[in-house]
This record gives sequence, structure tokens and C-alpha cells, in this order.
Amino acid sequence: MTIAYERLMKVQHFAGKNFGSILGLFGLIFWLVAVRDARYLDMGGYGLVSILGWTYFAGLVLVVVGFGIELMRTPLRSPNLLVLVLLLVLFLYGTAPAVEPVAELTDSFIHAGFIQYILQHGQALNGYDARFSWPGAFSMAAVLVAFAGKTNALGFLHWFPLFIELSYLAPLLVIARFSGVSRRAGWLGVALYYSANWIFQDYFSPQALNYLFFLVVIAVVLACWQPRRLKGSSPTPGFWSERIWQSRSLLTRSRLLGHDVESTWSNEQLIVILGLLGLIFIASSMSHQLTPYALILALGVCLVTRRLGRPELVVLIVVVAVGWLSLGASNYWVGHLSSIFGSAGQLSSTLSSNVTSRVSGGTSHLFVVAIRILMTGALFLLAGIGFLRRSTNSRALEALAGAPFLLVAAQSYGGEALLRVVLFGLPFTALLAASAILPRYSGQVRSILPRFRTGRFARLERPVLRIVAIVVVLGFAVATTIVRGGNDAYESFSSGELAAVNYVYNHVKPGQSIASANYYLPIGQRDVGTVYQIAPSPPATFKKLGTILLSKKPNFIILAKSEEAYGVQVVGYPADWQSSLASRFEDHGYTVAAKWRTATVLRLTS
Amino acid sequence: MNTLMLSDVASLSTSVVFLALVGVVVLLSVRACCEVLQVNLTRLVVRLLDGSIVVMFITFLALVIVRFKIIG
Repeated sequence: MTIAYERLMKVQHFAGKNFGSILGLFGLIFWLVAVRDARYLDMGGYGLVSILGWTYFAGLVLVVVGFGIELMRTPLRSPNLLVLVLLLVLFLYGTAPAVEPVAELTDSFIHAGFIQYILQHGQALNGYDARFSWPGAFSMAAVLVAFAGKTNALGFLHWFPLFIELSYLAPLLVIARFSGVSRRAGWLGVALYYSANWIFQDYFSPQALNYLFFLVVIAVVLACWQPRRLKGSSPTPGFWSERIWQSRSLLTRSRLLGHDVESTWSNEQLIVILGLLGLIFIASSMSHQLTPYALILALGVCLVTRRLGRPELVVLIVVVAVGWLSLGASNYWVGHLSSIFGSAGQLSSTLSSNVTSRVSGGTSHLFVVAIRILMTGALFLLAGIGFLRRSTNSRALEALAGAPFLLVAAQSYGGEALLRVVLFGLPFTALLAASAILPRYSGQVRSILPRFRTGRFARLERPVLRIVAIVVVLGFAVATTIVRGGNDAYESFSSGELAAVNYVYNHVKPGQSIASANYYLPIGQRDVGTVYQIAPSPPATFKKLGTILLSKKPNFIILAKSEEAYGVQVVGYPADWQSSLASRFEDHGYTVAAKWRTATVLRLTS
Repeated sequence: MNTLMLSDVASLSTSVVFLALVGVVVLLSVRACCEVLQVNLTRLVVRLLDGSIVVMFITFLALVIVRFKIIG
């Protein structure tokens, strides 16, 4: 009896001590059930969330509550928090790959096609696509594919978002550790980053890899150099005069030469790190159009906020990025320089192409877009509160969160610049938002808002903060679940659609063409440069679309579920518009060559 | 004839821009290594090095702009 009682007490003690982790474990079980029960083909207009049952959300609640409990524990246990963050990443970035039969997004397949071209020909195809002018990531992937003994990169596509998001975790933890926020706020910031990252740029792409480069560079810089204490004080005492005095040294020679920082790293370590950063700069400049410029801005603000000790790095990234643009990417800009510099300074048209043009489509699409805008606004609002509440030794976080906005003024980036701006600032915005809940009160740069005095309610402070942290992380995580998978009705693909595309590739001859009703098809992974693909921008009516496609006389036409969903939800075509279109094609010399439940292949026979 | 001249200018500008790029990178590397390894350079040498970097960097940017204008 006594032994049984002692065991029971031990179990109870263990459960009490690891309650957060146990909740996470139960959350994982709920996730497995949710994934098992999800039926991909039942997906509706709201995308992924429409096939996730209550078990997914119950599991998510358990993981976030577990995280909140661990976050406010004393002492803070990093291994337990790490496990809970990993579970959160699995929920938000692993659910779609686990539920959907094929990798998401047409661009993933197009990138696989570029990689296969390099594998086969040993070089990029000049003049085919702008992305081939920055072939670094594709070439590296081709080496990896060959090293793995594969014939193409398709095997890497499906789980890539989860893999790359997990890769971001290490630099994010370093950034959180050395950014000047408290340890608790650092963990909360990392959780907020993952909870609020609805921007789907982690698919199989050069930008996903380059975002890792970006995070690694900033993590190394923040870990290597700390701000030196500001000397002296304002001659006239006062709240604002002290701040103005501190800000006056922003652009001093000493600051720009990197003398206002200190490092605990040895000279040998610094030399090695500078060399490695140089290599990353070269890799990034050769593989992505935007990331090197985001790095220029980020390193620039690190220099003026006393977090970078080597100004040579800023000049080096400018030289390497501009050098590649001028020499390596000349195939892209020769003859149409306006595509690079045409949108410089045209802020209103850039904002219009980045925001206004996206707020269109059917009810479900508008709902998803509205939540995206709201949650981004909410995160920036929280970050603003964090800026007002926290004390620090350097305002580097604020500068890093704001610097990417300068990119919008320079380039519209095909209507995606604002998305990328939010993404490049997200790690820092999330840490500032965490500081709104758990601000640090020590530092030479004092907080703007005074510290809350809880007085006789002091004992309630920790439970209240725990609840606030849970509610905020959960709110963002649920919203991200909805909006990240919000386009999955047309951005994800069924096995039938992939089989239809493979069927066409097996039958098409060099010089022939394949058409689809719009962009949303798992296509582009083969025959780059030898087979033409036709995917017109959707006109106002599907009848006009039929006329456009018939005028181009493609040898094959693929009509599929994802294309239909895009037409209905975003363009406003009537339901079942593809059946009408298929009948029209059959009247104009096309016959059904093959058919799956979610796709039909039409072939030109006369 | 014009096309021939343009291709000559394009290939020449490639070499010149590349040389300027290498020049800046080498000067930056020397400066960074000297600072990190605390090599005692005289004030004159430091100023010459910094001045060379500034001049080379401006030259590089000017060459890039010229290249954009000529063949863009």
C-alpha cells in the first residue's frame, strides 16, 4: 500500500512538474487523429481549415496552453519550451503536407523543372525565365539531387515547408537570445513568429533558402557584437532631451566605423565569421533577387544601432549584390531595364499592386484576405506597444522591423513587395510584440511608457501574463491556420491532377504546347525549354477564356479541380464552368484523351 | 557595325565592372583583417586605405550605372 502510494505521489509530482509538456503530448495525439480523419477531396472554399476537424483545434489549444504554462515557470526550462515550439511548428507547417497528397503551389513544380534542366544540361537556360538569372539555389539543389541519386527534385517538394521552417528555428533562437529582450520574451517572440507567419514563402523556392541565409546573418551579427555603453549624459536633464541626445550619435563617424560596439569573440573567430558571412553574401546574391537588398538594409541599421562592428560587411553585400545584378543577371535586364527601376519611388502604385489588387474575389477569398490584413495589423500594433514599453541598450529590433519597408519604395516586386517586407521584418516584429507582454525594464535607453504598478495585485501578475500570452499566441495560430491554408482549394493539388500532368508530359513532343485554364496546376517540372506552356491571365468571363485558348491551338489542354476552384473563388466564374468549356473545346477538334476524378486531358485531334 | 560596337562595349564593360568589384572586395578584406587582427598601421596608411575603398566603391557604382545605360 505504501509503495503504491509512493509511486502515485511520484507520478503526481512528475505530472505536476511537466504539466505543460504532457499537454503538448496530448496535443500531438489530437493532431495525429485530425490528420488521419481529414479528407482532402472534401476541401471547400475556405481551404485547409474546411477539412480539419475539432481535434486539430483541440490539439492546438493543448500545445499553446502547455507552452504558456512552461513559459511562465521558474526556472525557465528551455528543452521543454523547445519541444512545445516544435509541436507548434508541426501544427502550423506540417498539417498541409500531412493532409494533402501532392506538394502545394505551381511554383514548387516550376522550380523542380529548372533544377532538372540544370541537371541535364549543366547550366541555366538564358532568356527563359527571370529566375534563371539568379540560378544559385537551383544549381545547389541540382547538386543535392545528383548527390542523393535522384533523377529530379520532386521528392523534396512535399515536406519542404516544414523542413525549412524547422531550419529557421536555430537562427531565430539566437536572434531572440541576443536581441536584448528577456529570455521569456525571446521564447514568446519565437512562438509568435511561427504563429503569425501566414506568408507562404517557405515552399520549395530560392526565397525560402535565402530567408534562412538572412536569419543566419542577422543571428551571427547580433550574437557577435553588443552595444558599447553610451558615454556621458544629456547636458539638460529631461525625458525627451535625454532621448534626443542619445539619438544624435546615430550618424557619427565613430558609429559608422563600428567603434561603438564590443565583442567577446576572439580575433580568429571573427576572421572565420567574416569569411563565412562573405560566402553567404555571394550565395544569396546569386540565388535571389530581393534578399541581398533586405540584408543591405538590415546590416545598415545594425551598424547605426550599435549591433555591427564591421562596416566592411555593409559595403561588401552592396558590391556583391549590385555586381551580380550587373554581370550575372544581365540576361534579365538587358532590353527591359524598366522592370527593375520602373517602379522606384512610385509608392502609391506599388501599394496599389500590393494591397488593393489582392482584395478581390469571392466571399471565402475576401474573408481570408481580410484576416491576413487584420492579423498583420494586430501584430504591428502589439509591436508598437512593445516599443513603448521596453527598455533596452539598443533600438536595433525596432530598426530591423522597420528597415524592410524601404524596399517597397524601391521595387513593387511583381505586387509581392509588401508581403516580403512583412516577412523580412517578422522575426523582429514578433520579438517586439512579445515585449508588449513581457517587457524588459533594464537598459540605457529607457522605456517610453512607465512601468505598470500592480500593487496589491502583484500575486496575480504571473497568472494574468500567462493567460495573455496563451490568448495572443493561440489567436495568431488559429488565424494563421485559417489564412495560410486559405488558398489551398486552388494552391494545393490532388493525385489525379499530377497524374494528368504526367500523362501529358509522357505524350507531348518537343515543340508542342500544353494549355491550362489558369496558373493553378502542378506543372512545369519537365521539358523546360522544349515544350511550351500556355496559362493565360484569367479574363472576366470563361467564354472569353475559351476563345483565348482556342486561338493559341495548344496540342493538349488540362482542365482540373484547382483551376476550377480558382475561377470560382477569385475570378468569379460560375460553378461548373469547366464543363461548359470542355464541351466547347470538344466542338473545336479536341477529344478527351484521359480523365481522372479531379482532372481531364483534352487532345487536339483535327 | 553598331551592333558590333555595342557588343564590344558590353564585353569590355563586363571586364571593367568585374575588376572594380574585385578591387573593392580585396581592399575591404585587407581593411577588415587589419582591424580584427589589430595590425598597427600608420595613420597615413589607414587614411590611404579608407580613401582607396571610397574611390573604388564610387568607381564601381559609376561603372555599373554606365553599363546599365549603355546596354540596358
